[in-house]
Amino acid sequence: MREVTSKDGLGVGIIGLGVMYLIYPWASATMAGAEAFGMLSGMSGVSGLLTILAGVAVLRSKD
Amino acid sequence: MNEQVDSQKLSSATGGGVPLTYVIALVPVASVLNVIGGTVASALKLPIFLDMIGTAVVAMTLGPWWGALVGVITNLTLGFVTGPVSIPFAACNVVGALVWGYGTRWGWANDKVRFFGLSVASAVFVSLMAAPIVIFVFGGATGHSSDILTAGILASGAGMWQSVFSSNIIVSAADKILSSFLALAIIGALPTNLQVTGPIMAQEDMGKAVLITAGTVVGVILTVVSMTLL
Repeated sequence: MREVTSKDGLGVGIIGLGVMYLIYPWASATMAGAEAFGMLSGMSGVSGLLTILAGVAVLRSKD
Repeated sequence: MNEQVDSQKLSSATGGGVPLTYVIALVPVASVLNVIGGTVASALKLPIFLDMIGTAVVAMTLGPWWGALVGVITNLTLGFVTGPVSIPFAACNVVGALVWGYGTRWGWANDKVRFFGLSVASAVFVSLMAAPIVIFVFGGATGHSSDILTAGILASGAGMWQSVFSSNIIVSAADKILSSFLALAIIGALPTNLQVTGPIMAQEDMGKAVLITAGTVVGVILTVVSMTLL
């Protein structure tokens, strides 16, 4: 039986963050129209923080 | 006997492996649970969110980053179902998953008091993430029931940051405490050999915990109702 570990979870969590980045331009354009830049900046800042946390988790994870 | 049962438990939360089929079964179900909870809370205009119960279940059983995946799936799905307002708040769902997951791994789920503390901590961290999103992305209001609280606190003379964070922490505390204990009940209902555990307390003698949860939720509902009437 194939098993997955918490490190696999970390990998798919980071993939999820990537998907969020891909969706953000559509979401901000839909919500804010011509003023999407400010909204997109805010969302990118928040996601950037989470990506940094993911990176720290990768660095600290044990093999 | 207990040692035998423990040895049969899966162990992702403590770093070991779990069957891929279990993950494939649990993650979508948890996401759907979140979407249903969030949709119901939104449709009934409840002053809570109910979109992180599945996140808590997965974060506490499979681990924090699997919970983060559930959070992202939930908010992206809600974004396509109810409109893109939910999408920026995926970050809050991810933060909640990290707090529940790492909190469980660090032993904060193995007795009632610490578990309550973990619930409150998740509320605080989620609000710390939510307040900047509400202000920078939405300008202070998202159309949720908690906006009433924000308006009331603003009217009392507080600043925007104070108002948004205060209203969010009040609503979030009720929501996360409720979600945590519902998640605990769901985990308790899983077959013993599927309870992937770091140390999660047994759901025995939960009278006080239920009282605290019920009191918190009733308190928040009364607060929002009174703010509406004022």
